[in-house]
Amino acid sequence: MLEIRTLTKRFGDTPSTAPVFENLDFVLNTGEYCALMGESGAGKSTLLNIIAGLEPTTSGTITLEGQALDANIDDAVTLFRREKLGFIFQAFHLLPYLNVFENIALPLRLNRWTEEKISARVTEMLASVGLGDKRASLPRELSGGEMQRVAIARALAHRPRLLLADEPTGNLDPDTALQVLELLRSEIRRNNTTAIIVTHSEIAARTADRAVMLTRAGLKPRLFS
Amino acid sequence: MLAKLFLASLRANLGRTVLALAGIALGVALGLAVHVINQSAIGEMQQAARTLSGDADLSIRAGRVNASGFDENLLEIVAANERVQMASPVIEADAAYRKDVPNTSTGAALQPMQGRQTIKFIGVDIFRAALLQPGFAGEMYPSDDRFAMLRGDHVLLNQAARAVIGGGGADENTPRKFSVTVGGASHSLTVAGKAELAGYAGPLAIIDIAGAQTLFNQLGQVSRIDIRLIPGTNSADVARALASQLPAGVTASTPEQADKQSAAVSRAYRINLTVLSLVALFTGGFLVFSTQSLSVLRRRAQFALYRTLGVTRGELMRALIAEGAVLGCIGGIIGTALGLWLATFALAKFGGDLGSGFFAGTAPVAQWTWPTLAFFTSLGIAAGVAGAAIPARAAVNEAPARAIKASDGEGATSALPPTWTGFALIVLSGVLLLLPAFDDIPWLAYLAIAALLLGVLALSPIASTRIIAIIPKPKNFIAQLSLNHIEKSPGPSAAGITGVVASFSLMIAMLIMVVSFRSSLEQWLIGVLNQDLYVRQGNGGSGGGDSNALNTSTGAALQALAGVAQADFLRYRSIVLDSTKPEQPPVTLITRPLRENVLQSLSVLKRAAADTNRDKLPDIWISEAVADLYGYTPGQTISLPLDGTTHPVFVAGIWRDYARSFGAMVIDREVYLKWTADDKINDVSLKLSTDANKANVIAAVRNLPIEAKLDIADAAEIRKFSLQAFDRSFAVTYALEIAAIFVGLAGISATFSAQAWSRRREFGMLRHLGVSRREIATLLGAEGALLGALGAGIGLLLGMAIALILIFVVNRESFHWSMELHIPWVTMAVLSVALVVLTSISAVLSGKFAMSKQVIAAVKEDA
Repeated sequence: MLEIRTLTKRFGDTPSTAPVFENLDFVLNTGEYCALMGESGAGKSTLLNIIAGLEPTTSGTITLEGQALDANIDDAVTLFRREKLGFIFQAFHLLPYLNVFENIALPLRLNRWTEEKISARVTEMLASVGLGDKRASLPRELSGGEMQRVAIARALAHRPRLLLADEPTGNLDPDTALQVLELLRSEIRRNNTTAIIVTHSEIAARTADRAVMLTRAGLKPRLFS
Repeated sequence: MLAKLFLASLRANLGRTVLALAGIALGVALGLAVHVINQSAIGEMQQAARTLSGDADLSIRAGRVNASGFDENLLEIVAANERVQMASPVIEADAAYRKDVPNTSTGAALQPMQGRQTIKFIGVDIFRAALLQPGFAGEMYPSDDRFAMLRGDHVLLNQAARAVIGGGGADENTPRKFSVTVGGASHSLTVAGKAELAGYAGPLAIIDIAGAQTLFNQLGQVSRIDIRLIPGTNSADVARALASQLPAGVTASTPEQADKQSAAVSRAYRINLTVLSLVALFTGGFLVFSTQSLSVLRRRAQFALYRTLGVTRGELMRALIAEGAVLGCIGGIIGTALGLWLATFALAKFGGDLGSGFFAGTAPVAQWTWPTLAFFTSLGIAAGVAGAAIPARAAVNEAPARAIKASDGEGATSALPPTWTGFALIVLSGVLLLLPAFDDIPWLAYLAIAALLLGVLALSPIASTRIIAIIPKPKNFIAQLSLNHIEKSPGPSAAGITGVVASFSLMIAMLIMVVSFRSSLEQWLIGVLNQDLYVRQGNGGSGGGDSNALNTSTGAALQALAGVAQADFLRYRSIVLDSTKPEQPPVTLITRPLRENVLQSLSVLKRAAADTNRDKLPDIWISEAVADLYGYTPGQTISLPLDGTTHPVFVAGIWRDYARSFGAMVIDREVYLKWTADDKINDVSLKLSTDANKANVIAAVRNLPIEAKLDIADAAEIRKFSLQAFDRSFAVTYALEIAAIFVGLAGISATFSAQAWSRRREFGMLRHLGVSRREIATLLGAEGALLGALGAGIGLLLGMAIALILIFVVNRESFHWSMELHIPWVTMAVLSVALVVLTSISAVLSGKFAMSKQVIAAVKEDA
């Protein structure tokens, strides 16, 4: 589904600059849920941005469902993100001036869904993340856990092929984080979405189907005892 | 420590700091420049007047300079007063020096004053006058004996006058003979020497008073009597004592009262211009407000940290106010320096006139005082402090725990005053408008405008929210986001919109006022100038002067010309209606034949009731200014002082006069000739017969066998010149309006520049969700356009309301004339669309950070 071949990323133009990573090879199958781990500065977020077409590669290729990505063609990758990717951020990033319903509807409106379909899908997502009674609330009226639930609903509302989550529980307490991770996993399963979750947390990584470690030497499987 | 942190913040946000500085500096510069130019021009006029009166403690005069004089026998009465040490009679009049420039005009009319320059003549008893003004004694040329000046045709010239008659002002090159034209006749004069009067820069000739009386056909008359009192005498007491002995229309005034009178002529114009120039400073204050609001919003987490670390509310408040004060002080100092330079440049380039006509012919140098400079610099500080105060209040009221965790503008305390203050200010504005003007200046109306403006600005955010709420949801997602953002986050948007509303409303108000005034003036000119041709000599003495007046034989010659169906003779006199108010400028008495069609041309606004008992008194038609300043009403009988006698007249009605803001009255020429022997003519209007050829008549006028060199113009030409003069006088206001609009746009630019930064995580998230750079630009452009449209809409309504106050209250109270309301709908629509486009472009350009790669990384920032 997602195929990364000989991917190298170097910030700066000169070949002498030390690469963030070099000659990465990675394959993720459809419906697979993978945790991406690594030390701070290892390039996890950079890899996520490259997969999303937000950051150009130095060399190597990325294909999603057979479609090659080129971040230099901005319109094409923007459309690709809009239709096929979902994002969850550590800081939630809900629009403060939109209510819960409108925040979840954001990707649907971007993808020009009809109002009836938007209403039905958002209602469905609200129910599945357990926020059916909060549809008219503004983000400032929600707790951190509730905000991340809204973010999960927003990320999956348009049925993306690939979900990218960057430290989704980093701002949450352990109990809430666990609840959110369980919800995330169940929603990924329910929507049959392929997902990569960047995390430092072993607990979070354990919820994934598999975990990989990003080091200078490349991506290595991370095994838990 | 805090000071360091806050000054570092000003340095770190250099772009916005510079913008706010520029706004304040521009406002201070314009205000100071206009003030210095006006004060310099007034100072020049007053200095000239005092120079010509020398050390006189009192002057007795009938009206202004160039006014018709009064009986010279009054000198004996004045001199007999035991407290008068010496009395010096003076004739003061202008005469035209005319070079023999060939007339190359082939058109229907001459250009006014072509080839002609005016010299001011002071006729004095040199031996007496020299005691008051030693400069009058002058320096005789060796070829003339010391009694030459007693001959009526010998004069002393100052350097400017010598330059006028040729030789460039140098003694050796100065011609000894020259001619001037007075009353249509040419007079040859001999230059006997030179007289330089420090403080009088214009062309000046000193002549013996008897010679002046002959030259200006004022035998037995004097223009004024300058008096020196016995040392230790109170001049105001003597003025009051003499008042009872003076004939009607003649006043005794101290130099201070004379100064007040000369300043009063242009006072309303100067104050209006100064207020207008302060509008730029006002909008500059809004620029500080918008930049400080956004700067506070941007640093709220930083302030919360300071508060957490133990900085008190008071310390934070003081630091933020000090930030505004520093901005205001630097802007004020730059603006003061710039204003002085502007004033010096404008005075050198355009003189003290600024296109108004009030100070035409003066060449003043910039006059200023340190307190004035300090005042205008402090205005800059006040604008900076006022702009920073409201955002500072919002910053200190924010709960640190919430602010330190909040992202962007979310949940920020509004920097805007509560809604009730807006309504209260609007009500206050209405109350102020019900109160009358005091000191003849509409101070309360200006305050009403300020209150209305501030009130509407305070209500702008809530009004914007309500307006957006009723706009149907657009289908376009980006447009929806724009609407949602402005509707739900009124605080940050309001900071930008206030500058636009303030500057645009003032621009619209000025536009409506100027268009209404211009249209009314044009209609008035069409009515007043209803004859075919107008003939005069030089300036015709429309201010009441006699030197260029025509005699009756010239009038008769014009009447007798082939093709002339009717010739009307007009005479202007300058008279003092109320001698108890010597500082009040005199009114102009216009005498002309008063037929019904002439009355129609006068734009009569109100007539006396038909059944009023007139007691067979002659009619007098008063202008609105006379009605306002003297309280006269149609149907009333009033006394008209004329040459020492008062005549009862019946106020038949009020007419509109845009030419004389201190009043004019019209009476029938036949009546006037019965009362006085003054048959001089200042203007002649000619009605041509239907089969007459205008060019032939003009040629016939030019070929009249008279010495006078007549100027001829048709009504269309005079209208054109008048409207050109009007446009010149408002040129400064257009410049000030444009400055205000740029300040408003700079506010929008600052808003979007700051919002692009503070909303970076939002834009970063949208980029992740698949919103392209172009769509972000569209989003910003739409928000800019929406703010521009809201600003334009609110600004239009507010501008129209302010225009009504300007037209019906400020103008009426300042200049004592009314006008019809003309609303330039098309221009207003074009300006509104231009504003929307400009704000949209400004938003996109200023918010380009929102399209940068940095916003993508911003989603990783911990809020």
